[in-house]
Amino acid sequence: MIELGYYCLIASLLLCSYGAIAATIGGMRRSLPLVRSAENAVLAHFAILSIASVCLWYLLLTDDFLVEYVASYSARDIPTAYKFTAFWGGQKGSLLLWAMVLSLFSCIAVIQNRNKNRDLMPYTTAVLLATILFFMVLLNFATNPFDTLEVRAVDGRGLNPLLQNIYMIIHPPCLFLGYVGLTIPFAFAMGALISGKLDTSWVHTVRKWTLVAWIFLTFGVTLGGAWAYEELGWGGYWAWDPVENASFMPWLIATAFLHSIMITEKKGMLKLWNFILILLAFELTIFGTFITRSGIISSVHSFALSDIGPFFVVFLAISTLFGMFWIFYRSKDLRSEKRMRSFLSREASFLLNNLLFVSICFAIFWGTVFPILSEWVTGEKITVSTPFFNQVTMPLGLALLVLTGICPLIAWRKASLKNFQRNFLIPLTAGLFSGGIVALFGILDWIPLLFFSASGFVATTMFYEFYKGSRARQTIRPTSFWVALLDLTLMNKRRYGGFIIHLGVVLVFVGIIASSFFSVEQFFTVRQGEQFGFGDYQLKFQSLIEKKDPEKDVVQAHVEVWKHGKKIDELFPRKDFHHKSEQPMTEVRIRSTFKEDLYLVLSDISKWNKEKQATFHVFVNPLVQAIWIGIGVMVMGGIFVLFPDTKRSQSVGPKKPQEESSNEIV
Amino acid sequence: MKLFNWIFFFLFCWAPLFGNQLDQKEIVSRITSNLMCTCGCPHLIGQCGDECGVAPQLTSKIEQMMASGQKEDEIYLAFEEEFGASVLAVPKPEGFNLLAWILPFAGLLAGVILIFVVIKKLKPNETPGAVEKKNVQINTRYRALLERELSE
Repeated sequence: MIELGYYCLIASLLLCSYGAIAATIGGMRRSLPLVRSAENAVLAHFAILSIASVCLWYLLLTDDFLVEYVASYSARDIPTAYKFTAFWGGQKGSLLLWAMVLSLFSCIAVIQNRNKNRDLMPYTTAVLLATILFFMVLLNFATNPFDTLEVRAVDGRGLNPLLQNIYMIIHPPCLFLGYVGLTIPFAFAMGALISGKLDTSWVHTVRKWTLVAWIFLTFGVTLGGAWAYEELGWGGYWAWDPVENASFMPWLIATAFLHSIMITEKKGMLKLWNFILILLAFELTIFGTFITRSGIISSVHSFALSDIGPFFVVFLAISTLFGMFWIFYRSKDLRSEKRMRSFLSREASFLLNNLLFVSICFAIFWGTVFPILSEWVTGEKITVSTPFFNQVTMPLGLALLVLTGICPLIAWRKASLKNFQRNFLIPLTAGLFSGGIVALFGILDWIPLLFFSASGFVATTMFYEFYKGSRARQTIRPTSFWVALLDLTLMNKRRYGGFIIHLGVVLVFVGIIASSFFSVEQFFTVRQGEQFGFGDYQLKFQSLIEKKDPEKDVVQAHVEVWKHGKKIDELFPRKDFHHKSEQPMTEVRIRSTFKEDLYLVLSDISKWNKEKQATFHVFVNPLVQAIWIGIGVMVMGGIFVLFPDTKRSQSVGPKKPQEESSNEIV
Repeated sequence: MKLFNWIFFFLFCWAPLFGNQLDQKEIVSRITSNLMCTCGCPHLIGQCGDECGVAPQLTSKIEQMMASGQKEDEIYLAFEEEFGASVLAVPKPEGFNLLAWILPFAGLLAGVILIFVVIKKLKPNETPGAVEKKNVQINTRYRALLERELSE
C-alpha cells in the first residue's frame, strides 16, 4: 500500500504536468484533441489521487506505524472514527485531502463544461491543473504522506486530543471545500482573461461555484468557532486568532464578489472589480494555508507546522503576478457598459457594500500581519489581539449591517426624496422602535443600542420586502397571502434567498453583540456540597469523581444547577489527562437555551485532595444560540439560492407597475 | 503628532468613555481583556484562566494594584515595563505602530473618495432632460422626412 501510494502521487504529478501543458498548447493552437486530452487528464488525475487517498486511509485504519504520518497522528487505542479523521489531522494528509478535493471539483467543472464555455475551458483547465500541480509538488517533494520510518513504531503518538472532537471531524473538510471551491471561479476568471472572452458568461458559470464555496466556508468557519467554544474553555467562540482570521478573510471577499456580480449581471458594471475580487479571494485561501502551515505567526490553531512556507510564498507570488498581469492586460476591455449616475443609488450602495467588505478584510489582514511588520521595522515585538480587531471592525460592521437594510430599499440609477420617504419610513421607524425597546430593558450602552436598532431596521426591511412582494403578487394572481408569499419566494430564489441570508446575518449580529457586551463570568472556589450563586442560577458542587480509561485519566465534577428554587439540570465539567499529552484538557459543559448559555469550566482541582475544594469558572453568555441559528439560516438561504427558479405562472391580473419592476433586484 | 495620539487614544478608549460608570470588578475585567497572558500562549489574560495557571495570578496582581490606588493606565504601564510591549493586546498609537490604527480607516476613506470621484467623473455629461430634448429633435427630423416621403 505504501508503494502504491507513492506511485500514485508520482503519476498524479506527471498527469497534471502533462495536462496543464496540453491544455495551454491546445488553447493557443485551438486544437480540440489536445484540449480534450488535457480534460481527460483531469479525470484520470482524480482517479489516481483517489487511489492514493484510499491507500492512506487503509494505512491509518490498519495501524501501519511504519508510515511516519500514521505514527504521528494515529494510535492503536483511538476510536476508529478518529483514525479516519486523522487523514486531515496533520499537514501531509490535509494537503492530500486538499489536492483530492481540488481534483474532484476540477472534474465536475470539466464535465459540466464539456459543451459550454469552450473558448475559456483550455485555459481554465490549465489553471486548475497548474494549481493542482503546486500541491502535487508539495506532496511529492516536501511533505509526502507515505514517507516511512527507519524502524516500525510500536504505537502511534495519537491524534492531538484537542482535535478529538465532533466539530473537528467536519470543520477541516468544510473549510477545504470552501477554499477549493474558490479555486474554480479563479480558474474561470483566468480562463476568461486569457481567452479574451470577457462577456458575463463566465460570471454566470462561477456564481454557483462561488456560492457553494461560500456555503462551505460559512459552515466551516462557524464549526471552527463552535469547536473553540466547546473545546478551548475560555468562554468565547472567536478570538481573532491568525488562523481564524485566515479562514474569515476569503469568506469576506467571496461575499463581496457574490454581491458585485449582481451588479455585473444586471447593469454590466464592476467587471474589472469582479476579477480583482476573485483573484483576491483565491490568494487569501493560499495565504490562509501559508499562515496555518508556516508557523510565521503564533497561533493556538497551528496544529501542523513545517518548513513548507517558502513553497507557499513562491506560489502566492507567482499566482498573484500572473493574475494581476492578465487583469492589467485586459483592463481596457473590462470597462463598464453603463455608468453610475448617483451616489444615492442601488448600484452605489452595492459598491459601498463591497468597499466595506474589502475594508474589513484589509483591517483583519493588516492586524494579522502587523506584528511581523512592526518587528521588522522597529525591532520590538508587539501584539495585535482581540481589542484591536473589535475596535477596528465594529464601526465597519455596523455600517455594513445598516447598508444591508438600505440596499434593497434604494432605487436603481438615482433615488429620489419620494423613494426615500416611501421605502424607508417603516423600516427606519421599526429600527428606532427596536432600539427604544432594548433601552427600556435597561441597555443604555450606545454601541449595543446602535447595533440592535440597525438589526431591527434590517429585519424589518427584509420582512417588508417579502410583504410588499407578496401583496404585489396577489394583485397579479388573486390568491391567499401565504400562497402568494410561497409563489414569490420560489419564483425568485436569488432575491428572496438573499433576504433569508440577510435575516440570518441579523441574528448573527444580535448574538455577537449580546454575547460580547453582556457576558458575565466569575471564578468560584467551593467545597464539596457547597452552593454558589451566579446570576439567576444557584450551582451546587456535589462531588468530584476520578475515572480511568485506556487513553486518559478523567477528573469529573458533578454540579447541580438550580433556578428559582427548582433543580433544572446537572452538569459534569471535567479535566482529561491524556497519557500522550503533557497538558490537561478542559472539557466544559454548557447548559444552552436561546436566552443564554450557562458555561461551566472545572478550572482548578489542586486543592481537592487536602481541602475537598475545586475551582469553577462560570460564564453566562446571552444569545449565543442566536449565532448558531443565524448561521443555520444563512446556510439554508444559500442552499435555497442554489436551486433554479420555478417558472412564472400566467399572470391574470393587471400589468405590473413600472415602479415595481425597476425595484426588482436580480 | 500629538493631535494624532490624542485622536487614537480616544479611539482606543471610546467604548468605556461612552459607557456607564464601571465598578472595580468591571475595570479589572477590562484590563484583563487588554493584556496578554505571559505564559507563552496567544491568549488574553481574561481568556487564559483555565489553561496555564499564570492568568489567575496576573488577575489577582491587577486587583491588588487597583486596591493600592493605581489607575488603569498606570497598570498598563507597569505591565509594559515588566513584560515588554508585547504584553499589551493592542499596539500603542505612537511611532510606526500608529500605522496599525490609521491604515484600515485611511483605506476605507480612500475607497469612499475613489467611488465619489468615479461617480462624478463617469457621470454622463448629458442630463436626462437633454437626452429627451435630443430625442424629440431626432423624432421631428424623421417625422418631417416621413411626411415628405409620404407626400411624394
